[in-house]
Amino acid sequence: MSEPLLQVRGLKKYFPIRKGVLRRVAGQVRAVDGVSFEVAAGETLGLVGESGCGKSTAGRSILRLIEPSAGQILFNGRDIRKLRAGQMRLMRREMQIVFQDPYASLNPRYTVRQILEEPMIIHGLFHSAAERKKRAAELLETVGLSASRMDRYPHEFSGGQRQRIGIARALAVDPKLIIADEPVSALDVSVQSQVLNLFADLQKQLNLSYVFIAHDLSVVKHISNRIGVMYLGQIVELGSSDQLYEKPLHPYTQALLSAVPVPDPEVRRERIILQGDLPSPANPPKGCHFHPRCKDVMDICRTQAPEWKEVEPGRFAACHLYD
Amino acid sequence: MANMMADSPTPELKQRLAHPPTKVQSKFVRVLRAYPLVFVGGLMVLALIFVAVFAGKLATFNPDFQFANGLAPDGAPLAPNHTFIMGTDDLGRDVYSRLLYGARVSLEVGVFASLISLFIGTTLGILSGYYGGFLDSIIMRITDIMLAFPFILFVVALVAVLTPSISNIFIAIGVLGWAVMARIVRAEVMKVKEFEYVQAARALGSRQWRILFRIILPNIMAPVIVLTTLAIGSNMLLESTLSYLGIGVQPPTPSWGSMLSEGQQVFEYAPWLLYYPGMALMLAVLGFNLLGDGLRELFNPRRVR
Repeated sequence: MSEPLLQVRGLKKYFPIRKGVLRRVAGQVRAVDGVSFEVAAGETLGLVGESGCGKSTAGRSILRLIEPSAGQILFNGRDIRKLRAGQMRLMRREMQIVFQDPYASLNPRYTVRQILEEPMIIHGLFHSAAERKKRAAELLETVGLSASRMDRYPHEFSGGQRQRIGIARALAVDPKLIIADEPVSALDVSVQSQVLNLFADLQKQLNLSYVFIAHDLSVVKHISNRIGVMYLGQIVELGSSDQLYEKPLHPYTQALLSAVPVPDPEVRRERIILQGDLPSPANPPKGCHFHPRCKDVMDICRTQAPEWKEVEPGRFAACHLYD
Repeated sequence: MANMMADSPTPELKQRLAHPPTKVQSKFVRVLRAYPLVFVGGLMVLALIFVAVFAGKLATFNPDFQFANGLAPDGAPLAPNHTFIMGTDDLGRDVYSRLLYGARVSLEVGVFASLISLFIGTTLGILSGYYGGFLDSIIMRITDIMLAFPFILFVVALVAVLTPSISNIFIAIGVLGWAVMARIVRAEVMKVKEFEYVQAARALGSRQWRILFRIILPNIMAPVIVLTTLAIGSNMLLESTLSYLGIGVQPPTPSWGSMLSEGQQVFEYAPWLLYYPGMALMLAVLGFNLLGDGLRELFNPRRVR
């Protein structure tokens, strides 16, 4: 296989906790604590996890919207953390983001056309206004909206339509990678599937790669080739979506999957109920971060953090059960 | 004909039914319809500007001339009559002419002082709100000091140092009056910069100035505009306060504040000396306030349909 489009190695983002008048650093919230994965061209990697597990922070750190604390982010083999501001701006043509909230992600003072032309202006993609307008119209048609409505303001569109506009904006610079940060979580279920299908269609047409962040397992399964499961700032399991759903390795993944409703009243499935609350990422448990809530906890889990290793070909997990 | 009606609509017609062409009405007209008081406020402000600009043409007399026939035999000011339509003051000057010229001073001080405050306050507020951290702490502590100080005392001191003149008055008011503006701009910037459309602009590779001035600034304009128009009104009042205290516009130049100040000494038997400048001041401030409310709506793309 050729070199993957995106390689993330040991990505960390710690937020300092400041206290007192002098604002001394009293501790750190380890929002993302050593995350590694790869995304091949044309592939979708899903990232799932509870709220607060650091999946959004990870997504934004990859784009340097949040400056990572440590780690490497290789895009086409270049470490984007080493890029200077000017080079980084050019690099932003390659990687884009689609946000969760379609109401907050579009500038209310710009018309849809201005929103779509903004990226072209920033990167000097077209020289005449007519060309930009033509491109904006194309983009709208691509995401399934009528170009006749491009002189309207975002508030005149519904949530699903706005999300399509957000996708069109991301496409305006012809990116290779799109980080989709819970792009359907704020939408109605009926609209969710339409937008998911749009993502899938665009991927085929434009050979895009996605990092698809979500907390809804059925959404992620539908769209992802591979899935990474995050817990407290770390990826605990990574594998192809079929394998992962069929036979989850990590006890946390098992618990998550057991909570997915099955659309068949006859099927009784054992639910694994997680005990206790999500620990604070400012003060994570010693050893394996998951051990206080794990059903298969062993003595070693309390003292030693499990290693990240390939359990089966193409399947990674961090759990002492597979030592 | 009936047959044609039964036909399924053409795609073109479908398109039109889905998006009926809305009557294109300029936003300006729509705002006026929805908020008629804006119109009133706007007219009042326009009238004020008109009076200030054409005071020389509209005035019946030289505002500073002390008429020999402008006082009653016992030395009292004359009540409004055919010659002096708003009466005369205790020096025998024409109140009507002085009122017109006074509009110039009020407007000049109100507008320029507010513009200076607007510029300083917006600049500091944006820097403070967007960059945060140490810069924010410093700017906000200075703002706290400005707000904690008795404002009038501050202005009085500064005007006294600068020597009173119209330009020094608006400079003093403007340079000292930015604190509230800075606070409000900072709060708005802090709110707006967290919106995902600002993140999106960064993700698209916008430069900082583009984010600050093309994305954030337009989104904080509504409260800034409202505050500025309100500030014009209150700065006009402040000018009259200063003139009333005797450190504003120096005699014989007429200003509404100085007219009030002179008039209150004789208002028991010449109440028109308070009525007219007081009324003018009230209407001018009211006009700016009404206009400010309307502008907020004009700048809101959502409210007016």
